[in-house]
Amino acid sequence: MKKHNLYKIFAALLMIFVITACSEEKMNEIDTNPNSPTDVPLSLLMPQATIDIPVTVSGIDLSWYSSVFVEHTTGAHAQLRAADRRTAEINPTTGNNQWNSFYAGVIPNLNVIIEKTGPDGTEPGRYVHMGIAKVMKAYTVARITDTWGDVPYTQAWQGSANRAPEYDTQEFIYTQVLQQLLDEAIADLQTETVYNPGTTDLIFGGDVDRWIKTAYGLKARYLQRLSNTTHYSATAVIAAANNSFTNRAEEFTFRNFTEAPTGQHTWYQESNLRKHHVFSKQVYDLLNDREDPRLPVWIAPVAGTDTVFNPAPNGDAQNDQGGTIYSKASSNIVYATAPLEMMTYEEVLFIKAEAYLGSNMATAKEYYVAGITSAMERYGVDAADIQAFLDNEDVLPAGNLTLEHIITQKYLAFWLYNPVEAFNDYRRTGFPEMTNVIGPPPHRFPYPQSEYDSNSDNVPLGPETIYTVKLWWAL
Amino acid sequence: MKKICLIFAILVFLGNALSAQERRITGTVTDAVDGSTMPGVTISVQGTTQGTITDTNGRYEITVAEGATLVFSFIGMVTERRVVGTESVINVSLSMDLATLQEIVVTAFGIERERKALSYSVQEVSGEMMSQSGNPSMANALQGKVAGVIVRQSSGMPGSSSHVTIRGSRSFTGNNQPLYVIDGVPIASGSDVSGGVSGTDFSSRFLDINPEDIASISILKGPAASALYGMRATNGVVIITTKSGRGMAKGQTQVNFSTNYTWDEISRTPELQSTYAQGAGGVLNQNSSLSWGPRIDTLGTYFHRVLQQDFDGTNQVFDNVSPFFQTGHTLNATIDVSGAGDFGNYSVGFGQTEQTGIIDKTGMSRSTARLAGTFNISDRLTVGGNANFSSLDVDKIPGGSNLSNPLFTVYAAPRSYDLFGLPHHDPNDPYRQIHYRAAMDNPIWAMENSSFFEQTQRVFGNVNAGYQIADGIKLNYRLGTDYFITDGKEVYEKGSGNTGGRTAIPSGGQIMDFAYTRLELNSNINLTINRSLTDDIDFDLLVGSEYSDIQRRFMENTGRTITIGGFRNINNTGTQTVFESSNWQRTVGFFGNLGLSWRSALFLNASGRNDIVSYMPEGNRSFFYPSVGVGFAFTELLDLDEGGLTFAKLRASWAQVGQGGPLYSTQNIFITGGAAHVGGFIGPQGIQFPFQNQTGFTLSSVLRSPDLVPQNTSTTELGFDARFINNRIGIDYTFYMIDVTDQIFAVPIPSSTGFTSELRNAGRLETIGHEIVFNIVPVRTQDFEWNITTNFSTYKNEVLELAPGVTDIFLGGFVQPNVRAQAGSSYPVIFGTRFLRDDNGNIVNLDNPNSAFHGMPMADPEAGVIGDVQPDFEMNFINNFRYRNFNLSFQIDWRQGGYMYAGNTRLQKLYGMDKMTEDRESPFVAPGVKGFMDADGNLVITGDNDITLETNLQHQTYWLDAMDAIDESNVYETSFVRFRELSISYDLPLAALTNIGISRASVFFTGRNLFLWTDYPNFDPETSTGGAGNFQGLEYVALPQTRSYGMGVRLSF
Repeated sequence: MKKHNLYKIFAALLMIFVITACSEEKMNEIDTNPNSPTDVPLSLLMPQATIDIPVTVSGIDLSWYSSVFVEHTTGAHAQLRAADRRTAEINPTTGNNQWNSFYAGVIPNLNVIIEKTGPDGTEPGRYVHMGIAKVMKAYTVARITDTWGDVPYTQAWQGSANRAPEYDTQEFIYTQVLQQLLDEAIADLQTETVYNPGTTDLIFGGDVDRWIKTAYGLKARYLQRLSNTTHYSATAVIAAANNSFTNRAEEFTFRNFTEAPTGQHTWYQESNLRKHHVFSKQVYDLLNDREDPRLPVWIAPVAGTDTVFNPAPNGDAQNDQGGTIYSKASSNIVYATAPLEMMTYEEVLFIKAEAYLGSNMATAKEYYVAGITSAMERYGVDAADIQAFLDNEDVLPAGNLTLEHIITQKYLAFWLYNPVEAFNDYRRTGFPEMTNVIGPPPHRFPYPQSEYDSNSDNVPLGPETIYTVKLWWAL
Repeated sequence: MKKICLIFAILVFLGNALSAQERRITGTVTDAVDGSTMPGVTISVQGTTQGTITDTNGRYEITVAEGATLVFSFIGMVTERRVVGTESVINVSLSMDLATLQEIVVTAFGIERERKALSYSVQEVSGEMMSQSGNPSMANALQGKVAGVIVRQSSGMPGSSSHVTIRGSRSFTGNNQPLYVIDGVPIASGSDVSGGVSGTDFSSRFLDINPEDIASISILKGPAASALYGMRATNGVVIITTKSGRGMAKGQTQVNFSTNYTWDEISRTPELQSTYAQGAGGVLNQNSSLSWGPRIDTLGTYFHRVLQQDFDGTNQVFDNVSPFFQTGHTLNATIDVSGAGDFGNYSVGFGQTEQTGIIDKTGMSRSTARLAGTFNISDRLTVGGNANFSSLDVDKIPGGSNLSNPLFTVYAAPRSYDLFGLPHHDPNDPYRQIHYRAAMDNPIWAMENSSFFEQTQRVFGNVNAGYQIADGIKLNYRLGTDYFITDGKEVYEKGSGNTGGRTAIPSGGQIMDFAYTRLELNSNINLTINRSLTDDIDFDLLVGSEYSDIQRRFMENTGRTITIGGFRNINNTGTQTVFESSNWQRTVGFFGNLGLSWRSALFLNASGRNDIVSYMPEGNRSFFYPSVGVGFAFTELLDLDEGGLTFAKLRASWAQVGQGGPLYSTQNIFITGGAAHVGGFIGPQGIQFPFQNQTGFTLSSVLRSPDLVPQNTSTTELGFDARFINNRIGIDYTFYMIDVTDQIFAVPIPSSTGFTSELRNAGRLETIGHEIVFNIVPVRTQDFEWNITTNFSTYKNEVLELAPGVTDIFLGGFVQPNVRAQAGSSYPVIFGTRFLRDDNGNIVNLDNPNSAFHGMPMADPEAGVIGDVQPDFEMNFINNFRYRNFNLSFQIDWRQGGYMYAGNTRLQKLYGMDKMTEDRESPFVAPGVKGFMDADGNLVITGDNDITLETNLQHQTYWLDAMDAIDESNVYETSFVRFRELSISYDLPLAALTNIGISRASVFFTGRNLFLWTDYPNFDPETSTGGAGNFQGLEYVALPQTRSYGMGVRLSF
């Protein structure tokens, strides 16, 4: 019947409409997020990753707390004063921000870069990108374990596949992860490729050579960290260090902060906004006692005065929110575009000095002097003043050099922007002696509240143990 | 999925298979009362699938075998049966079925059913009830009229939002408001932009509907009722039918005009102290936010900071509250023309509402226009359409924790400070404010200089067609759309405290322009088959498909630092930032419903719907939702005496429906990066892109999942409906249990997973509730009738579990107090600092003579739940009296239980402005015991508290420091009894009117919110800062509610 034909046509049209309206292809199109990309190219990931390393990993909370713990500075206000007075650092919220930004910020992006550049990735063959990401990952993972001790690694970053990652020991990370990552990175960086991140690498602008030297420097740093353990090999340290920086121009330092309010050195932002840090009595004394020529370059007089220098005692400072009581680091050091050192040439020299200390005193002294010289030159100290400083028996003894000599000078060389490494050395060697009247700093940072809340079966230690349980590599 | 499409297509064809032929019968069906012809009467041949309906003239024609039985049925009428003999004409008149008189209810997809056939609870509200009190907001007019429906109005400001829930909440963080369907088409109802603790409120979209246009509202409360709507049915459905001329007598044309005018005033102002001056510690301080200063009667002469001269402040007590408020006015006017005829029916209407608020600069203006009609193209084909236009402008002010909220300092201004007498800005600089507080805006200055408005233009409606394929078989199609654009501008003038502009040289200022558009398309095709299978068994079948597509787009430009004061263009700002967000979603559903009835006594109903949704993961987009129900009206089988039990029905139903998660939650995303963006220490800056000419992206720390499934709500509902004495007493009871599993929300996970939270299915929320609707007509005579309806509802919403390791989730508020969903507690709860209590629950007061807090309550070091937001029950009493031409109706609402954090009262206590703080001289002993914490942190109780607080300073410390540190001290029960509505109307005698062509005229007087009895201090307990969001139970300097009186006229020509 005619009518029935009409119905059939109508029904067929309806079916076509319905099927196309709810096909998977159409639904996928509709479900495509117009607001945020679900994938971004390496050229947008590299700037993020390479700004995270100097800022998120090296330039915020962790370094500020470490600075106060290791007495590079004294906390004179709010959280840092509480840390200095040992009243709040046991709180698991202290490390929340850093833990979250390491685990759920920095490393996921690095993993994406490594994955994308891998053979199954969307941008394969970018070996330089991959190598850089691995160097940065090793650097970040080391920071994580040095801060908390045993931490998730092998089961971490798996999203919903593992909602309660187990923890790996620090020994595992130091012996099975860091060196391997850096070796892989070096191999990647040495692979021929036409691809280079160029200016999207905000740290080195795609300079492969400097990344390789950084990788070797970090290898040396992490091998030296094992000095208290049976895994230590001075020869391995020296071998790695020999391939690292040969001058300050090559070192792992971030020099690209800008004058823009959202591009400034983070310590400079902190100094304007919060003013937590003041010059510590510890650093002042270490410099002043040896007539260190760096002192006048580093210290600023108390605000409103020209000549009053008042460093703050650790553990006993007054609240100086207004910034009118104590001296601070000078504007030679803290300014918008100040360089932020993550691993310096002199650190490599001091590492070599320490590695040679047990086997070859003359060579050890040679590297020790070279380290001091480079650290002085950094602040424009002239050769005569350097020599005068080295002539001091307390600085360079005629007899045997001790570990304390090396680490004390290394400690000062880490001032102001690498307090985390100073804190690592302190925990590894016990030098220099701390002066905080309330007591020594904690051995570790407390695990964050989020792990206690949602991964309680795996967190190995309670927050109260930060003063009692040391890191695996610690003295 | 394609299989489903196919099955559907086959079903569409089903109707074609049915046909027959034999003896030809014709006739007319008429109404037994007035003899008018009845179109649309179903005539079926018993025992077959054959049938027809009467045409527009009530005529029918059918060919059947001799001896067959014809069944004449029409909804609301008594079914008639005729055996076909030798005659060729069978005329039938149908009479009203008294038992089901006015018992036709609108159910899902606009299907009209007899109430007695329902296996679930549906409650209706007539258009008259919606409009009788002149409330310009449809949602607010609904408050108290339906058991289980709770309307929380954010404030009494014109155009303010409301949060509507039916039977509590289903979702922790998602949508908990019902679906609104107008004339068969789902429409946007919510704000889409929800409130927070600061900023301005955004009007809810049901404000676009003029309550005068509503013919009736049907509330499908539970999923069993709404299951045919599938994924959107979780929270119930509000079905609105607008006036369309339907049901009017043929040839009739009617013009209706109604207008009303109301006066609105603030419903409640706080009780303030009037004894003490600005300052602290009993000492005058003219820069203080506090009123803990000296007695005003001993103030003496001091050098006035603003006047810059000596001022004798003795006994100078200023009223800083009442001058701020004014009488608001609301004018509503609606005119419509409706008619019906052989062609069909139509209605055209225009409405206008003009409202000015009780606070200067607030107001609303609404214009609506609509056209609705149905046209009978042939006996079988009907087409119809419905078009609505509305334009809504709202002028508003910010509420909540916003430094420009004028109420911050209206309520808290010291009694010794003449807020309205003193200048509010520097005579030489209009943007340099003068105020008793430094950072906040002077309310007068803010009203003069800042402005906030939004305007919405909206079009919604549908085109529909119905085709009678064969007897009892009808194909219906409806295409609907709802489109609106809201655009707005918010200006915090240069010098505004909220933008940090109250500097020595006025600075700051902010201009925000925004636009929001939403387009929804809805296409619904369905086929209905109604048949009698045997003498006793009738069945109806519905199959269909619905297509719903929604696109939204939000754009916002924010300009900061106004260059030239008073020049309100975003180009006149120092920096501008832009934001855009858009989304798109689609649902395609296939549904079917089968109803069976046996002797009009036993009813079975089963439905199924399969939804395919875009925003669920690929391969996981198709979901099926079933429902089954049974109703047994056993009185239909009995021969009952009219004087006793007239009708009784038992009913039971079960249904499962879903609710999708947030859009775009199935794939991980990258967001604009930066460093130190994780928050915390460094403050607002850190490093932001572009940096060194590079832009960076970072993986979002919220893990999205391709394994998500929709939230599942399963409901069991049991009830009975009994009526006595010729239906003059009716009781309808419903018990329900709602179990919600697989909620989608951001579950916190250890960040060692690489993410800080994960959007996943988890958690379980259970609601158990009871509803009773009780009707009684105590008196019914020719001249006088008294009608009482009482609604009672109670429910318990309980969070059974969240996710492993997750004890609570934050819904809104402050660091403390805030509103949360907490495992093991009712939903939601207020969380904050508690009183420290001993083992017996007594409040512990500090016993330490060396402490300033000696003798004052101590705070529990561990924060916890301090209040349960849900009320215990809610009851509404609606009374209607009719005496000759007079009609009086009123509504009283009683809400018992439920707690709210009274943020505004807290501030008044803290500032020393609350009446409670007025007595600062009488010694008093805080209730409870006394004790202290020893060095090991153990509580030591030293006995009942007997420590007397005497000095002015102790009183101050008690309120300002001790009590204020304990959030629990500011949590109050929100129980109230409210005289919600009153309406008195008088119909003018017809005789006087017909001469001048008026068929009906009435005058009426209305009152809303006339009385309030509550222990909740200072403010209206029906206020919330959360606006239309889920976070209810926390009030913080919310804008006030209103009380209204009005009068109006209704005329029909």
